[in-house]
Amino acid sequence: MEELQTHLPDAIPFHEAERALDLLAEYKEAELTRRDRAKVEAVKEIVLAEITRKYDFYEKLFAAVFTERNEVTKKFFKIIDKGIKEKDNELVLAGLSSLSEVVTSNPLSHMKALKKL
Amino acid sequence: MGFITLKNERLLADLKDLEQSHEIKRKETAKALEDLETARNSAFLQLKKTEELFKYLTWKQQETINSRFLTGSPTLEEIRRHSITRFPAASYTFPVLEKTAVVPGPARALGRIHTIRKNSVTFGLIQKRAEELSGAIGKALTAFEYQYKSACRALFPFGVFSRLRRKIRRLLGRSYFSWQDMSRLRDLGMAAGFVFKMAEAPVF
Repeated sequence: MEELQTHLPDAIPFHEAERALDLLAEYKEAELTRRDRAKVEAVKEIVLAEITRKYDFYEKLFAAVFTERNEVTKKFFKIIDKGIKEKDNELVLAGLSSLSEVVTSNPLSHMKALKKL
Repeated sequence: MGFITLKNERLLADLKDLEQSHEIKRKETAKALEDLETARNSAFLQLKKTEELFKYLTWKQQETINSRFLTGSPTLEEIRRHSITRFPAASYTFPVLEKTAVVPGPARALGRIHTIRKNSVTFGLIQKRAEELSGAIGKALTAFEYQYKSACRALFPFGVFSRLRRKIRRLLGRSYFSWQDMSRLRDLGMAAGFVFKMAEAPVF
């Protein structure tokens, strides 16, 4: 699972937010002035928004990838069903071949390219 | 002072919701992977059926099917060998969230939200991929079953009598299957090869 997480593209730069998180951890609430608190609060909101934006983006992206793959595999399911119904061995094999090609391809294969964006 | 504490309550409420959904997603992902293992095992059990037919092929007949029709796919021998030896169950480890004894401060809470969202996206990915593979293996097995029955009907139209005739043929020094039977066995070999590839496909 950790290995898979390294493949998640950093399409949204997160380094700044992570640095802000570290700074936030160093603050001692009692030593903060009203202005500092406002700053901390703002950083907190930015980091939270960034986390939400980043992972909402990934969720939408992966949902789209799998929706597309599902639509394709459903078409091949139909071809296989048609082949079985019509007792057409060639059609069944054609459906199986295409299905196998889609299913054995890695859904994250385009992620490396995306990571470079 | 109250400024931070007040807004932190909302952050902690968000965190609590996320922790609950993380646990649900973790369980759903584990279930999807269990279902995938069941589908894979069932595929390899079904592929064992090819053994009773392919074992009668001569070396030359096997080579013809392998080189002409199963290029880039597992060979008939590989399908046989892998379906006989039990497919090793894949092992997966899932991160379980550490229990926090004290109420986390804003930095810690944000760090935890980050971890949970990251894990949840990964769980979602694994779950969707596992469901995709299970569904495809299920359909491929239906197709394989059809090819197997179709091959048996064509090769043994009179059941035991057809088998007996073939055995006598072999006793007389000829091959169990004739070259005319090859097209049926080729189709079955190809179907078995596709099922094999799907059952062996890694989650990622």
